[in-house]
Amino acid sequence: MKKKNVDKPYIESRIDDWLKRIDSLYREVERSLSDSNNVTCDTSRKTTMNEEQMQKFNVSSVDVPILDLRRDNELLATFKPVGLWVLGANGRVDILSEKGAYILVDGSDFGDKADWKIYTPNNRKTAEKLSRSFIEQLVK
Amino acid sequence: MAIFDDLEGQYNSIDNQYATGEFQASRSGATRKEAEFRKKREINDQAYFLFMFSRLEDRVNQEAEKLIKRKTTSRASWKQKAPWDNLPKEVKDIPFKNRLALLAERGKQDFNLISDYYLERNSIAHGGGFKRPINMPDAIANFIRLYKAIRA
Repeated sequence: MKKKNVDKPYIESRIDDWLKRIDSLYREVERSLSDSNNVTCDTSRKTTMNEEQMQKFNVSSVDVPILDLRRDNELLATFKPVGLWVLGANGRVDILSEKGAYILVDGSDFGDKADWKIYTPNNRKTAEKLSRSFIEQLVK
Repeated sequence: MAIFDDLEGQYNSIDNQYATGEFQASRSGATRKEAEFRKKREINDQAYFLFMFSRLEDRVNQEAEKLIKRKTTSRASWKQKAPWDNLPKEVKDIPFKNRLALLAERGKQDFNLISDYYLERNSIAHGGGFKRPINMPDAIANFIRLYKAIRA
């Protein structure tokens, strides 16, 4: 992680970066599912982000979009952002499905390109790189 | 590692059950139930984190005790033994980070990581939650690695 003075503007820049990475992630999911029949991506639901670092520097809470994947209006999977200042990652998003929880973590440093890796419900020992084929499997 | 494997298996099984519950509640639009399952998952994370940290803490205590005993009973000169003789007789009377510093270099990665986990452990043990969200699969892998790395 690059050294940086931690102050309110820095915290705000981290949040801004987090929101951009989530937006890019959701766009990647949408692109990957463009050929999947009747699957829609809905980001109308939100979760509130109000982490300790934000409270410490008096930064207001932020709404972060949740991504719901639906086929014919039936929910198939949900991407729920869990947090940014994660011990051991640069952000965590959980993907909830009928099979359980997929844990998606960004292994990048702040300022670098996102490096999403995923732990599946059946394999929490090793994380695999987020890929188009993984996203397609999610809605099968 | 056996002492973590059972806990890891149980943790993952419960986490997936609650995650499925959260998902099904979300699918049926039961927002209150969805929040309840979310909370259950958080508490499960905290409980298993504490379980696993306590095993690492035991390891730190045992190895620190071993090291102190070895140093105080060695044939070294009194000058070399004096700092060890002056430590409290009970290893648990030494503050945790000082105990840890006997086994891992202060400021280095392992020391810092265990110190970060210790902060979380204290927050949970005193009735709070995680101070920062946690990546449990990564934390479990670290507990297993650190348990082996901490040696007298």
